[in-house]
Amino acid sequence: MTRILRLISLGALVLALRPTSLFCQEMTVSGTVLDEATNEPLAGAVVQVKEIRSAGAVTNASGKFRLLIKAEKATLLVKLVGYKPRAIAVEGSNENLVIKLAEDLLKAEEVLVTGVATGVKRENSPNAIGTISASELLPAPAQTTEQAFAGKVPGLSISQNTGAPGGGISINLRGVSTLVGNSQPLIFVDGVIISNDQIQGGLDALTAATGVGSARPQGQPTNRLADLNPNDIADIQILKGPSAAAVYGAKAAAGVILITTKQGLLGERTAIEVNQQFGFNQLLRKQGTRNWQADTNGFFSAFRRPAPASFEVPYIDYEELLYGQTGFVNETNVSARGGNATTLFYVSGSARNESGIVANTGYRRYATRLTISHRLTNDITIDGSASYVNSASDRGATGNSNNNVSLGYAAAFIPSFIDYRQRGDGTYSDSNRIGSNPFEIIDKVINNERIDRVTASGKLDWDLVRHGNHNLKLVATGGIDFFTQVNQIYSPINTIHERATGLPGRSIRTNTPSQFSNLYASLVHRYQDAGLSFTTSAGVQFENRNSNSVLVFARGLAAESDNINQAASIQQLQTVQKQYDQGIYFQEDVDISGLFFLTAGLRMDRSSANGDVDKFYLFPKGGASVLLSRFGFWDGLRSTVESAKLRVSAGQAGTFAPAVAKFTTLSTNNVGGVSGLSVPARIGNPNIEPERVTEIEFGTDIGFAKGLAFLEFTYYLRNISGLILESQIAASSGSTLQFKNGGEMKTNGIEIALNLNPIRSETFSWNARVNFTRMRAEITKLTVPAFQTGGFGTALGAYTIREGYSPTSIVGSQSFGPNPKAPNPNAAVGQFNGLIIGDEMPDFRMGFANAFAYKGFELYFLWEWKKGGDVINLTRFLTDLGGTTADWGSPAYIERTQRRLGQSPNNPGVRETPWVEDGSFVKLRELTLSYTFSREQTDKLFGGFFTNLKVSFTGRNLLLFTKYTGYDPEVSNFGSIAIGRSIDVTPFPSARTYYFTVGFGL
Amino acid sequence: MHRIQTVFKRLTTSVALFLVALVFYACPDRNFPNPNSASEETASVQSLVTGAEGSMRDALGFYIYGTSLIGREAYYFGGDDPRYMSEYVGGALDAGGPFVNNTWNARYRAIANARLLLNRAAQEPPSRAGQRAGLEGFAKTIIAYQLLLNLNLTNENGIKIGYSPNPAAFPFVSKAAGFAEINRLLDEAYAALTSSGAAFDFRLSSGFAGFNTPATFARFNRALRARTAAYTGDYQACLTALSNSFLTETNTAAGMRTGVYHVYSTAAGDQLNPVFEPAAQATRFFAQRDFFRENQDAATDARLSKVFFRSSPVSNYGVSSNYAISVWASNTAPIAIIRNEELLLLRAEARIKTGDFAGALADLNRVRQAAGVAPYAAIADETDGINKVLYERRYSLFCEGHRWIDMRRFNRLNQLPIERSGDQVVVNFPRPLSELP
Repeated sequence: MTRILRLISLGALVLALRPTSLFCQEMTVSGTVLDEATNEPLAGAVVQVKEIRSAGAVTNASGKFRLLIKAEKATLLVKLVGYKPRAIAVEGSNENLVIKLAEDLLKAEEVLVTGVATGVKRENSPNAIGTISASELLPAPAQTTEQAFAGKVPGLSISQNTGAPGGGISINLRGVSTLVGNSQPLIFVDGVIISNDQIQGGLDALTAATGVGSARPQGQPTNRLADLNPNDIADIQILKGPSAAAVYGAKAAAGVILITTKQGLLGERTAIEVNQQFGFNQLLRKQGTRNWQADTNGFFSAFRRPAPASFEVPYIDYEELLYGQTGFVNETNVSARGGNATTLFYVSGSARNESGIVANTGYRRYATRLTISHRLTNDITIDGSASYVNSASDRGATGNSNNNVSLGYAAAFIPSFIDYRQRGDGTYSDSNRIGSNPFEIIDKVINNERIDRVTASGKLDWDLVRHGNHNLKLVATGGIDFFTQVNQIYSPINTIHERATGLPGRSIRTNTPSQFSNLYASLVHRYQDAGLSFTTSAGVQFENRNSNSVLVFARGLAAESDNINQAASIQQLQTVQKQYDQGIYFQEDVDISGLFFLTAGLRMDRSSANGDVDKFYLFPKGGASVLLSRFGFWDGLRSTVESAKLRVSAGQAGTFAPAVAKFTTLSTNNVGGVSGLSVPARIGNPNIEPERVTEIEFGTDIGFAKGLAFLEFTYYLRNISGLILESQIAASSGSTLQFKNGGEMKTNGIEIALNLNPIRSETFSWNARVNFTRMRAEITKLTVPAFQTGGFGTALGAYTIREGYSPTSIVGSQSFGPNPKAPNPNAAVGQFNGLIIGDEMPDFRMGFANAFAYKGFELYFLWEWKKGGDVINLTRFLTDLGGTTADWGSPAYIERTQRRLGQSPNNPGVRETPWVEDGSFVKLRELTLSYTFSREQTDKLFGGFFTNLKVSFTGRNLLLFTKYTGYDPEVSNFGSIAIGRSIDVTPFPSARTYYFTVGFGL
Repeated sequence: MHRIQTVFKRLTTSVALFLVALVFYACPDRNFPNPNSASEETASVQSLVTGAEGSMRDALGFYIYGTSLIGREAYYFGGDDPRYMSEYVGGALDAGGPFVNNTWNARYRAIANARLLLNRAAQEPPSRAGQRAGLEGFAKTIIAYQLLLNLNLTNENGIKIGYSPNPAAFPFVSKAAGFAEINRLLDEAYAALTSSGAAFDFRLSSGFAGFNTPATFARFNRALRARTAAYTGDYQACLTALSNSFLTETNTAAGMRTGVYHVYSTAAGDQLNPVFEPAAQATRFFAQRDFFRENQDAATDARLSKVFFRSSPVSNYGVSSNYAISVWASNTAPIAIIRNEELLLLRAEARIKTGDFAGALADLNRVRQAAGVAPYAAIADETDGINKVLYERRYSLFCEGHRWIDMRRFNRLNQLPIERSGDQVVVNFPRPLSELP
């Protein structure tokens, strides 16, 4: 140990002494680094001396650098992220060197992750790996990180479950890969696996949407990626499936998202960036409510009210009153980056505070992060990063309900002529006897979620051997992600909805500490010789996950207090989740003269989540790419098609069964204070295995000359075997569901990304990016009987899992029993007749971004188009019943009602489910109009106080075009579940957000 | 040479560092038991007994709403699910939906718990034969009662009397075979209970107060047997069973309430009465108006206090009512499984069917006296007797799950009021989809 310390201190000493030692000749080199196309000076470029691997110098805001070199001649390496690197030979002092860098428009130099500790340049990568840089991520501010992913990467779809402040978003890569398992990708931040769990806070206890602790909760919680400050992100890499992510093993089937946060930057002085945003939230879209004014006939037929002397009823726009608040948004971000030859740091702070479109809802987040990178010796670098987040959201009471303690649900049963507004004396009425008053709910019910979260990561990068062509490195990364989520739901005793219950007053407290920790240790050996390069890596991974949620549900409160001690009835629910996994991986990458690139890897995983905890499951992968444009035969083409690559890769990855799948958890059924245990509705399976996804991916990447266009085309094919199913079993056995590995599914898809730079001059540039995704899925084998899942029973629309059909197929009443309109019109009563009434899977999704820059001005917008994809709109079912649907009484309404009751003249006698609607939409996701002041302008205006200054007007989700009749076709009453998402039950409506932003550097 | 040494040192150092890291990051035991639950094997007999008792209450609300709405005793509406009115009252039961499946599933879940107890009983050593018999008697009675509730709903569609996750393993058996199985279980349980010791080896809740020893529990068993005998028209067996049941010849209101109940409490993990709604503020559960209108002694009949008069009618889904339901006084009020009032009425029915009109009249008048109405003078004939029995059952057992079944077994479903055109009276619940192969 002392030797190590000696070694370390010696190294430090050498470094410390180096600048002043004068034992050889030296020269001074200084100059400017410019952009080749625009001649703008480039700040932050690193200029290194190749021979001595020194840290070198960094250009300042004017693009200038200065280097003292202890040699007579040297090769300078100039690098800047986003530009192609250049090497320049210098001999003797030179004070006015001009170095021009070409922008890497094709991102050929970008290093993509292919292994746990290894990467490859984009131009060689055998996979289509999606990347989002910091500037691409946040052209417009976002409430949460993943909100800003939408429409940017083919194969990546982002879908909002609820519009409630604080988020609740599901992230999906390449469509459906599991039916009941985790459908959300594995997320790393600086090498730490972070939790993106959605932890139920107990809203179901308030709304009675379902029982507390139900296997299918409807509380629509936040997903925990929301805690990551999007402004800290440097770049994001997205491994879309097993062919790229196989070395992440049994958790990687849903893809892997690798997020790198901003690092320190070498520079003469610390760069401070300040970003201040003001904005406001507005209801994106109204669904409209029935206006009964001047519709005497409709009114009397609907409500059978006694006829008044003169027909005059008021029109009260409840949507406006409930969701019409303009919520103020205020966000401040401050960061500082700097460092010297041995230590780099990044530190940031962020505060966001916003009000929602419903009064008394909102979100705030305070986040801070510190990242340090220290070069201990020439061979050892250690990185450390720590962040703390405190967030709180007031999410309101929305969604499904069985007691009308949900704004939308209650409002569905309040026709526009009945006044529910707070009365002058401060009281509330319930004249339509719905059991609640939504305005009272807004004023008095609290649904709050608080987070305290600490994430810390460390990385050791040690060059063990550097000898000739060999290089052996030890790379170890690890970290911990810990948070406590506290949910507090409170409904005071003196409210209409509480007085209607036997035990008025409810207080629900949920405390959930969660801890994820992981450690990766890899040895990486690189051998390079005459154009051949072999990279061999091998390592081990340990990962532990623990969470322990305790919910206390108190009813019959003694006073106007949320304290749970003095309640008449207490119910509790503890949910412990533990998972311990260990993995071993190996990977070999071979680069042959830059022409061919080959990769092969193997991962072995064992886990506490499997039936056999000691069994290692094997996940192999392999891939190859060939750079056609590097061959001689391409010479004639190169002036038009600069680069062309063909790639193919295949791999396997897994999805673990849910942690509960192998156990049977007995239900609690106490009677009179004696503890009772009963057989549960769902039983476990002690032999459960992980699902296995096999994926093969083909593609080509083509870059046209001068970065004019870059096309990426990918086709993939997946086979998912051992699908874990909550298969329906005969209820007469005592239970209704059992986890089983019981099916196979095939999916395939096409992903296209096109990046165009049609105009690029000193004053004007235009960049357009288009991406397209299309996927298909089919259940090819089902070893259990076909079953329905999701939703609220077939009559209201449910998903069906059956062989030969898409797993996201929707069926309704008309899909069972005799139906002349069905493929099998004479099906027996209760038997499936082959009629599918919808499919959640869209025909395709497209993202379309354009950026125009003229001098300092930039205009940028991003559209997202989802074509097809059906939604079960039960909000409409409820408003139809309540007399509040905008088209109530119209022929369309009459038809819906007739179909529901089996009285439609088109199909008499067959009851139908009429609420499945096309969820196609076009959304203006992001819009930015900005002006960046030039250095001369800021110097002139502010006397050099700012190093940069930018003002912008931006917006997020500004426009929505859809024929869907609800608030937003992006909705999920059941949160981020794999199957059964697109169900709309009076959700928290979506908002649009406008911002005014000032950003400057000091 | 020096170089190689350095390399070797670094390698050993890194391996050592790595091992140190491993020690700090010790692998936890992957083979841990379920962190959220005891298993079926480790759960105590007492917890399984209480679990069986407790799970008999699961989805009981659906049973009461279902039988009351189909039997046109009541309507259930409010802002929530319109399917109570469309499926139960409209008559369009969804074989894949909750209104068919919830009760079916819950009953078989309670049966599964009782079957676990039968397994435990089989493991008892011969030295504990008495305790074993007690457990067997309890478990079989529970199974029989739960099967009966499902058969009450599915009726001619039958039930399953074999238990397997595979829907093809056991076919549905006919209504008659279902009753035969229920009676077999009840009779075997009765035999076991009478051969058991003086006390059970486990505790039952206060709902079984007075019926919590093998001897007294056996009287509860016979009461159920009397009900199944009446349902199958075997009136001689009904009278025999009643003679061994807890039937008491009383004419007080309290005496009518003697019996076995599902109990509720606000204690942790317990359930609350699923059908209680404060009558004065009720928005959901209302009596069908004829309940009040067709009473012949509206001034005196104490049983009319089972509804609460509201001056303004509540209208919804095309029906309206002034009568909120107040059968249960609070959210912890017990719900009857079987009680003396029913036993007296069962005996009256059996006596009419066996020609003992005088005996039947005495039983009917005991019930009437307890309700505060004048006694009947005489029973003219069998039809008159059955009319009177059905009338008393309607008021005595209001919203306790009887009216629809009574009207059905006497082929009088067509006498139930249809207030909305197009509504149909359900005769049989469909077979749940999950049970079909």
